[in-house]
Amino acid sequence: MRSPPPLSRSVLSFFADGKVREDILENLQEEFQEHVRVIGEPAARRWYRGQVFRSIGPLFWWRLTRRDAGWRTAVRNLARSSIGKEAQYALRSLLGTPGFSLVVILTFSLGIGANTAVFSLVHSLILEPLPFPGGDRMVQLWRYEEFEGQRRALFPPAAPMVAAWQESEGVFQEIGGYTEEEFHLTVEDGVVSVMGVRVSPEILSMVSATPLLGRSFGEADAGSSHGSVALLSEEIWENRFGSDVSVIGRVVGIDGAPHAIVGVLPSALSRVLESGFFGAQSKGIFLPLVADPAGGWSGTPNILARVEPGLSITSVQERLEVIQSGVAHLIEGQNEWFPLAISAREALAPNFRRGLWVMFGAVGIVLLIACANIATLLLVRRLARGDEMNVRLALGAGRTRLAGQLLTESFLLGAAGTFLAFLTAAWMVDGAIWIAGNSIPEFQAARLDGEAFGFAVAAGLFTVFAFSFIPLLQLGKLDPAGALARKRPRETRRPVGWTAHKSLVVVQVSLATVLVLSAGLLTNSLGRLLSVDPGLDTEGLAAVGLDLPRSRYDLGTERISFFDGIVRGLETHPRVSAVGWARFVPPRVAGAAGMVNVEGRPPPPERHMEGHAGNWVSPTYFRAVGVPFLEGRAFTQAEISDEAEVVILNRSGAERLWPDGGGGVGTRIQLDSDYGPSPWMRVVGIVPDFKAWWLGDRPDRLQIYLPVSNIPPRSGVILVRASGDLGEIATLVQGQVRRLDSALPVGGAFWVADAFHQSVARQRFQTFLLSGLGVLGMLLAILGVYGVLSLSVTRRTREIGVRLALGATRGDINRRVLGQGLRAVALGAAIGLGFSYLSSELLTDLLWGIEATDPATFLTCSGAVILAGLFATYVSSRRAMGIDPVEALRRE
Amino acid sequence: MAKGDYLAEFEIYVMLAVLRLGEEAYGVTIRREIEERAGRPVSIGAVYATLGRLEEKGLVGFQVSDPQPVKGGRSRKLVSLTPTGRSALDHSTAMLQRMMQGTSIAQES
Repeated sequence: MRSPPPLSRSVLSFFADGKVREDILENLQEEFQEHVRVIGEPAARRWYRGQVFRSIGPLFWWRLTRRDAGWRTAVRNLARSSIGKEAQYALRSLLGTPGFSLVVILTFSLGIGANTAVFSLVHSLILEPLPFPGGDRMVQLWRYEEFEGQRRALFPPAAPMVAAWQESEGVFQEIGGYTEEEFHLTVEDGVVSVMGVRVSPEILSMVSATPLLGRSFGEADAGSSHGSVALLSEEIWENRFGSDVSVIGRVVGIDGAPHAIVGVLPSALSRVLESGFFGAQSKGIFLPLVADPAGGWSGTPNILARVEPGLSITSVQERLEVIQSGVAHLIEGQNEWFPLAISAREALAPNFRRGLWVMFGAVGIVLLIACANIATLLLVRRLARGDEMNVRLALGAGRTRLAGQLLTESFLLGAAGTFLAFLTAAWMVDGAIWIAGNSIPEFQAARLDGEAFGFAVAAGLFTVFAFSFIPLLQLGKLDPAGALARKRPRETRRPVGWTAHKSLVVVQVSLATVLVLSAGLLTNSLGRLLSVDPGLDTEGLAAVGLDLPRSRYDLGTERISFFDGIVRGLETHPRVSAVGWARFVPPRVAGAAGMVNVEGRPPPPERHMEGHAGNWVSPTYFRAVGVPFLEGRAFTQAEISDEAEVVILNRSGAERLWPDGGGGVGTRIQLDSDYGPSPWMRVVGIVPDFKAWWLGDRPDRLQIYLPVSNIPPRSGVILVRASGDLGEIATLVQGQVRRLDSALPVGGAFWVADAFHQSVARQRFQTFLLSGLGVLGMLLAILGVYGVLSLSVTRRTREIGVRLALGATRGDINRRVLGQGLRAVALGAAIGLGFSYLSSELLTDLLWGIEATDPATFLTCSGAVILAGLFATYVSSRRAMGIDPVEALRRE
Repeated sequence: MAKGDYLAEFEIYVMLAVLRLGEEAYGVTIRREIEERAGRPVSIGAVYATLGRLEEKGLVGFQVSDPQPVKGGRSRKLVSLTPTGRSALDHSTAMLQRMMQGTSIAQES
């Protein structure tokens, strides 16, 4: 008879409960013999080992959870062991000082919790590869035009470029295209407008889009604008189709054309898509990308690709450039285009990378302060227990044993703290997501995961050892003989660990200063941003977006007369004081790069493209947004209907075009952009500057206003200045829309002021977060200062008593204690200031309208820190002043 | 049946295997039965942990068989369902069937 692998057999015996051990071993033995006969001994041994390996889990779990589980015995055994004794002793001593333990655990959980929360933000938004196979190899492919060595705006690549990439070998595994669109979905109660995306089948396979229901797109589904198939997001399926399973195969109207619903995509996927690939808005409908009869896709979709494993982004870029040299001549009218590959991960979070790293640094500082704080508390405790340690040493306890006990205590505190920290972090992340709300949609992807937990545990261990380090060093300095020989330690000598204490105060205060300063700078910067005058009268100005379906509003004139009809209908309403319409609403107007030619003046030899803002506006637009004309006039209705070539500029733009004054109204200009030169247009008016893109936009940006007839928009915004709340205004506009077209969906109304407020959401969020950390750091530091000084007062009770008895006034004592504390605080603040000054570069990107070394902020913030330190010092010195000399000396 | 006494998926597998094997039911045969029918690898540890749990709940019982009629043959610990076990199994499977009624799963099977 062959015998099974002995090691595996003993492993199994170890894990199996005594009750079933023999049975299991016998059963295994029986099958093992059979296997030896059938598949030979080596394979049978492998099988045996596999069985044992997979049996461990269930058996062990059963032993732990069974009703008459032996784990109580196990715990009892552990408690009898030396580690158990150590832990018991530590636990008793920690429970003996509940206040101390609680403060340490709370400090610990706040410090590590904040770190874990920010780590999980950094991790899930910046570090983690996209959550599908090969997500780290996903790239966005663009083309850009180089101009005077400068890379200009990115454009989706031209079809010949995509074709060449698809044909190339060894670079891309898959290449897919997508375009974003707003669709009109016909549902039972009318038509709703839904953001959607047209995708090629490759995109869905790249993001592993397994449908919840039905199927995904296949090659045969190449879309056409006349209808075909569609996928729904889980959200739309729930909200609009009541999660009806029979929706598969149903034909719905999308943009007026019949589409068969073939599947529902899970919301987890749409969240990935929302978080950046296809813009920030959630997508409800997925349609196949329209195929070009000549091959490829029609139009120029955005391109997403997965590269072959092992290729770095740099080598992909090199390959693209090689390929490009072969196709450049195929791209119509352009030979200055260059391909560009951007890692999709990086493209997702471009806006807040720097901000998040700064936050990460800030929570790191909070953690250090927390460590210093806990170390202080431990030192305080240790000093208070100095005699106990001395006695134990004298009684023969080894220093190793004492060190072991110190570490056990720290470890218990750390374990409790880390557990709480993880809960704290979960709340903090939820809070951050809630505060970020819809304004920073990328944050919705943030979550606490295994890595974050690992981070918390690692940070916890780090902290435990960091704060145990100093008390451990102190152990070596204990002097049992000396301590026990005298009845009391001599107070004229500095208490053990006093230098360590003072340096901890200095460190904490300097770190807190850095935090408070950064928070102060950001707050100041945000305050300046929010107080910026947008340049238009946002009071009572509401906007309502409208989208016209292509099928029914094919002609530009139809679209213009529809919007005009609504404006006319609203104008006569008694509550409406002004109304106009435009393609865009500030601060969300269009941007373009181009050059402006002035008639009768040769173009200057050195010109460069500049980014300007633009909008297509109705004659009453400027009156509606409350912007007066500096010169000239608004467009007239006649100019709209004649499609006249006219233009309105802002003051700064006009000043730059005509630096010597003159010109302006009456002159003709021409826009020269990527699409070639425009016709000559006569300037009819000049308006003051106002913020086109966001509150912090540069004041002198060139702004170009064209009449709506220039490119009659399919979607536009009605701007209404009226009394009443948003709902009332929305109803008002809705009524007008219904009157003209009952099948048209009306978007929600919003205040233009809110849109401006929203434009600084990221800044607000960063400021909020950093201020929170600043306050936290400062509180911890104050606690630390107070702890150290109180300790010093306690230790010097007798000395102070003697001084008082010898005639020192309470004022003298106060000054002494205050002076001692303030010196440490001031030194800390000074170091913090210096450090902030040296590292100011890091914050520059996050600030608006304020230098990272702003003297006023430096002064106020360091003042605040010193004041807080003074407060902590004062509270401790009050205790010193309250000492009764008689009482203090009698204790001798 | 008290709350918390519902059968877990693997417990149902084990009990069905016991039922199916009748007098042949012991560790080796139960393990193989599930492995072959469910088509997934099953470890003997999982089978015994589950049997142990079921025994604690009073749903299965063990009895020692006569020694095998071969040279050196050992006796086996045979498993059978107790009456409570039988009714718990009926209850669980009936519930499952009721839950499946009218869903696409029921149509396929």
